[in-house]
Amino acid sequence: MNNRLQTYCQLCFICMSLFFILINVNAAPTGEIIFVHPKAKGEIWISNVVGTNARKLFRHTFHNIDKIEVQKDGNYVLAVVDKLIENNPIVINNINVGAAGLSRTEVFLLDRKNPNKRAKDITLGRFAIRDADITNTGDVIIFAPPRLLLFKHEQLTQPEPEAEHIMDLPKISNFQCSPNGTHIAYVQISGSSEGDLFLLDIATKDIFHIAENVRYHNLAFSPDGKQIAFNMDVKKDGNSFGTGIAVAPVQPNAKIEIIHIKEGFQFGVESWTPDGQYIAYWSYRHQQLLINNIELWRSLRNFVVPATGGEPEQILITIKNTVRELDWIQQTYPVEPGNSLVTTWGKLKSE
Amino acid sequence: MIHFFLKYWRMLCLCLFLVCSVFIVNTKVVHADEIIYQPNELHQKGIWISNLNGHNTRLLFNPPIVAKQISIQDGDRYILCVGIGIGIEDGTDVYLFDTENVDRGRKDLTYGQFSTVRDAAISVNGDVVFSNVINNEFPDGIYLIPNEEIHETFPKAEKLFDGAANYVDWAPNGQEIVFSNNNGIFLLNVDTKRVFQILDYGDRPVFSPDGSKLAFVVLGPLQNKGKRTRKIGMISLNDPKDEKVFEATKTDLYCNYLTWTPDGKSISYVLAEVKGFLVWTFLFDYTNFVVSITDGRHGRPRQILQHIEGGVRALEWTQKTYSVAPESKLTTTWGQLKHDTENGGYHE
Repeated sequence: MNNRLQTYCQLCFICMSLFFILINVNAAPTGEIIFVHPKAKGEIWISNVVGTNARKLFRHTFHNIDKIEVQKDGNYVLAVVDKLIENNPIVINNINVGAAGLSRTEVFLLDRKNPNKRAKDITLGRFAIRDADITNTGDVIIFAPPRLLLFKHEQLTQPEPEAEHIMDLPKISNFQCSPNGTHIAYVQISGSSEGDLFLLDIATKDIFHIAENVRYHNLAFSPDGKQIAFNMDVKKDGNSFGTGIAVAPVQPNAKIEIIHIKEGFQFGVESWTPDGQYIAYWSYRHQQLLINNIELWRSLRNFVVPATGGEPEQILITIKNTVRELDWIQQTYPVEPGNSLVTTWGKLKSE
Repeated sequence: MIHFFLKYWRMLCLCLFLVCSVFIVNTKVVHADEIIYQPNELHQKGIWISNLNGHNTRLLFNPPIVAKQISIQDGDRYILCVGIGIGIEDGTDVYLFDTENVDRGRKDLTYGQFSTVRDAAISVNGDVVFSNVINNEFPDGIYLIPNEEIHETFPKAEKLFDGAANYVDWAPNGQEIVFSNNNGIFLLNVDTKRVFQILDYGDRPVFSPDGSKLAFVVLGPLQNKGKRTRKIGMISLNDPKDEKVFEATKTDLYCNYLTWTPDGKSISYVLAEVKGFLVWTFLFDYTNFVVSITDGRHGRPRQILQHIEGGVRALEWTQKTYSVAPESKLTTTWGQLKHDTENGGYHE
């Protein structure tokens, strides 16, 4: 009897081990993706990895969203937005065919716990903003050339949040805060589309050089803040080969590793997955380069690639355009609002 | 005799009434053909159903697409459309509608993974075939989505033919596909993948309901300003010499759609005329015709659906009666809503 029990136990142990081994082997990106809808460019959406439950996250819509950043340890989503301040309809042959207007860049905060609440404008037309980011603790940093400004998280609930001047940084394009908010990575403009990547220690104001020939835009710290992913132009025989995805440790004159590149393609780093295993990116190929087979066609859109290099996997498959702004979160959100077990069709339609 | 009538007039009236009733009831039992159609998108959105004279129109589905091709499964359960996305829906893809679950809305079968889908058809077995073109420029081929895949979230498609293919249609036996390209009209066997050329001209081939004939569009040579004439033609597959071109259908307008009537005695087609431009888009007016194949080469086209404003862009016949609104549903649970949105997120 004891022998039989022992055999069953051993079998159970083997089965469970196999189960966990298989689970590990098939580890795929999890969590949810918050993104700017590529067609409704003023709407922020949320979805699972493949896009099968893609839905609008916030009721508030904007004219045009340039960038979003999600606070990892809190509920804020920061949006850098083109706010329309004057709108003139364009009428051709008595048919309204669109509108043209003046806009200015503002920074808005949206609350994931209150998706029906209006977004809060924290810059209120006071700055000429180029970029902004939010730290895990909820501090907001904006770059209004040449000033780098900090909104401490306790200021964000104020009607007119006050900003502290960190330092001046001339000739930079975009920047990215480290997850703990102690450092800022930025590309200092030197060429037409590329420059040198630097890291700034906000407390000491120390700056050190990480890499050169880095494309503007699209910097992403790993969740532990120890690595940074960015785009790098690669040349072959003096000609442009493509824009690859590069990863480097966050240290002076780091050794750069290009983990993914393809001839004729531009890859745009977007975000790391919360477990730090994958990097999400968009893929683009110039229209003058022929896309004459279906595999080339399918290699445009949104993908993840293992952070150590490997085969990419498509994400957001149901979204039929390339998403240019996305961030990744670990927690999943229920579709249903709290305290509502039923809704009427009429209400659903009106919403 | 008069005495007989006077005596039994009540009985005779009752008999007469019963005989009439039989005729009345009989008339109602006969299934009236209806058409499922995509109206002119400038006038109406959605996919509609109507009787043949264009009265009694009802909205069947209201997806954010304009259906440019429609195919109805024999037995009428599934309706397949090639739809151009409108609003935030993008691309030109294959969409499936299950008439037994009308309120579930559309199921996207291709999700933009095949660039632009040109045409699609569903077989009697529920297998889906479609042709596509990359960037509206480079022909790709013909793909098959087997029936066991159509309910998968991302159905797998197998390439059946590598090369140019404009329009496709299933043979009623579900074994062969007819397709067209610039070199003419071809038959493709699904199992062997062998291709057999039927005609070295013609476009938009469609099988007759019994599978014995093909209707197609005959394109004239290109003239000045890119114009060309079009006529409707027909060929018997049992006797390839039995080939007819209906001269009275000759037109300079674009033939936007072609299908058979359910009795297999007439060919229905749609002509499109450019009415203007709006930003980057052509504005069309559609006119709908049928031509009888029994009248020989001189069959005159007869206009149908005159009562539908702007005409009908694409249409297919059906004999099924559809419920057109969610039944008995004043409310839904969030759980149901979540369930409905999870499998693709795009079901209405």
